[in-house]
Amino acid sequence: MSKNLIVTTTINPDLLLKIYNSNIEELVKVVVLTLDYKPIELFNNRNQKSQRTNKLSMFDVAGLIVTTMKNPDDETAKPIKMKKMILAQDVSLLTENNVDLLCLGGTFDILPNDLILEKYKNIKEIKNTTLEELDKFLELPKNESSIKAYLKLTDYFSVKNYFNNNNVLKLLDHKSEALNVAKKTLIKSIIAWQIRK
Amino acid sequence: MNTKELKEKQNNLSFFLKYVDVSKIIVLKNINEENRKLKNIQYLKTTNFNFLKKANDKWPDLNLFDKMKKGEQPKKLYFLIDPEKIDDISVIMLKKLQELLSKNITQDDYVITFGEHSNLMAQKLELNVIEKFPLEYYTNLDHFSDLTASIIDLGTKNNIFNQVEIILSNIEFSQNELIKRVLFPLDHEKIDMVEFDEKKFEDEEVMESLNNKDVYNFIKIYKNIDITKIVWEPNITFFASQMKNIIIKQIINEAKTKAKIEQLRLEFKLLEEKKNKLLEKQELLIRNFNRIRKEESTIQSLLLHSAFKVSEQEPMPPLMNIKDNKGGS
Repeated sequence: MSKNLIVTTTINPDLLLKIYNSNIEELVKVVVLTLDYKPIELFNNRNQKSQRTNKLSMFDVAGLIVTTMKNPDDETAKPIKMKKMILAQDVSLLTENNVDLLCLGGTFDILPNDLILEKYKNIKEIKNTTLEELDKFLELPKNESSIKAYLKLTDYFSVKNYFNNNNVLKLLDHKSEALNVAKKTLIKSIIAWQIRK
Repeated sequence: MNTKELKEKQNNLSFFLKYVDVSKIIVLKNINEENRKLKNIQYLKTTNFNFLKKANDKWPDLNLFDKMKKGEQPKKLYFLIDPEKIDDISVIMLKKLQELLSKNITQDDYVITFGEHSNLMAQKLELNVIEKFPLEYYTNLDHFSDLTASIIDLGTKNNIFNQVEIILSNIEFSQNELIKRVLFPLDHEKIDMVEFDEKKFEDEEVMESLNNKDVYNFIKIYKNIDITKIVWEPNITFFASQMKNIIIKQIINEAKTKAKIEQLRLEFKLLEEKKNKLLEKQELLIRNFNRIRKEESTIQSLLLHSAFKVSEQEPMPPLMNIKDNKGGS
């Protein structure tokens, strides 16, 4: 079995089981969606001849669509394809000649499949989905919409506040809000990616 | 106490002994599992650290490890963690923590506490507590390491503090000290490096298990990267800051796993003590049992003896009565 694609959880290796069990499942494909770059598609069985530059990319947050296959080699059993949508923090992607190594260096949430399925039914709905509606899939205070969070952020980056604010914990709040906004945008990207296919 | 009661007691004791044995096996199994996790994390941490070090050695001007500049005042931040439950042992640990706090931490240092006890303690000593979190934040590991890493990241980048240490209320038995880890700045000497021995790793049976295979691949790839031929995206400083974040999280995770192992070891020791006590009790019981049986047999022989004497005088010996007496004694 050729392995061009490896996924690890570097903080706690046991957490990988939440995504897939590499003993009985095989990775087929991972799509990495980020805020700054185009979607990156990684395949397990890639043409090895293609020459690529070595690259190490780091992302604060990334949306991952992981496709795995159960029983890939077993002829008696039916292969089962599984798809998982993940929001991960502190993701690094190392691209070498033959290998793509994706490391999740922080916490990650697996999005419920229902979320995507529901949205599939009516594409019109998607266009009208506000970010607030996606709030419940993140551990966010319910009374605060992402728009509000975003406004707070821009507030914070006003010149006056930037110089006065030296309290770490306030900074922490702002950072987590920024992360949440980023995650919500990524949820939309994930859904959009699914629909485009 | 008669033989019947003694026998019952002995049965109970042997049941408890077996129970303790089973518990010991379970604890041992857990220790093994935690040890495996610890090893994995240490391998990963060491690999990450070495990789960052390689980049730092290559481009020393970038100061990827945030070494303090000359003349810079140290501003320290401490994370204090409560014991997970309060019992006889954790009371001792809290005392140790108090000693450490009054000795090492000054009122100029920043303190962030997790849990009520350490918070009260810090306030009594009039330390500069900038935030108190509930202990649950610590128990949920993923969130905890993310939170602490974020605080360190933001605080150090904004020059609020430049040295960070975490202190857990668990004793490291080999050193008889509380578990402490320096989280910032990352320093080669203060990081417990566990080098990865490829040959040994391949021989080990544990290689079969899922995680080690992934860990193995990770280490092999990262060890063989030629850093001069790499494109950093978006840039190397961002990479370094993220990598440091990850290493800090790994150190926290490692410390927590270590604390768990020490806790389990303690449990194991207590079980062993319990077993020894039970064994002592059992010995005593057996001695008692033998003594009583001896006494009974002397009574029996006396009875038989007297019965013979009686039978010499009378033709009908009351054997049945003797049997009844035996059963009731």
